[in-house]
Amino acid sequence: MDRRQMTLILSDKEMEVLDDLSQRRGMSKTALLRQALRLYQSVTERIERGEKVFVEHPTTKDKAELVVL
Amino acid sequence: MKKLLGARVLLNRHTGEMEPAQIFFGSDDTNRRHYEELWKPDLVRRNADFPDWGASAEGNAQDSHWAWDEIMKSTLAYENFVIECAGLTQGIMNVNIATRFATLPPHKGRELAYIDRIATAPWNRHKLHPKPKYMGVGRTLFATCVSLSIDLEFGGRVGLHSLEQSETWYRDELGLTDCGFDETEEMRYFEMTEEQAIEFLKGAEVLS
Repeated sequence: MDRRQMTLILSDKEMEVLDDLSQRRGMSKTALLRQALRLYQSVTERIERGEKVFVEHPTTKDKAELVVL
Repeated sequence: MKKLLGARVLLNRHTGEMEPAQIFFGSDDTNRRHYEELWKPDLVRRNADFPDWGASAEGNAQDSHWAWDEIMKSTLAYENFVIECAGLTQGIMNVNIATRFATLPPHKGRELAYIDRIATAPWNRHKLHPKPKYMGVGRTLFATCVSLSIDLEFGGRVGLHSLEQSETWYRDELGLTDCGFDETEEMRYFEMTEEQAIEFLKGAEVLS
């Protein structure tokens, strides 16, 4: 697939999160950011179609709606 | 956009010869036309031989109701592939690379490439044609998905829900773990772990 290069400037805090997540997910920072973009597009499209996205507590089964503005 | 990914060969069972095949990333109007004008009529006709969808597994035509646009979704979350041989579309595959996650240890919760749809042309299918033509379409597409999973740093992990007609193929031929019947999808769920992917690729050609 075709790829293009871009320079990304992150705050220290954002970079720490990126480091931490890429370690926890076992992926490079680039792969993680690409995955985040896919997920964000998917969630945005669903919400634009009128669907709702929830996160569910594993034991209480309480649901919280994810709202994307 | 359609782009050549690599060259492969398929065994023509009619002649016993290996024939050159091409795997493409993405698809075009020609593939759509092949699907709608050559695949669908055969699949719908075969499906009509059975009283219901469940029974049509015996005819290898449980996907006769699929529509091109729902197979070949085109967002960042999906990657589409086709395989062509002898000028015709021999197989299609759509992979969800965003919203499905591994269920098996040791990488439970990690990303995986989820095969949303995969199909070989009706003329290549046992139970549908008395003399199926090309052998190796499904395996080649599946290997492409494992390669995609590695390329995306998903470790080769692959998941899918199987039509009843294909369950034994995933379990016995490709070596995926049968994770049982998924009530939500009303199909059995299969998964390939990193370790299984390594084993699988030892016996398969890998696209780079």
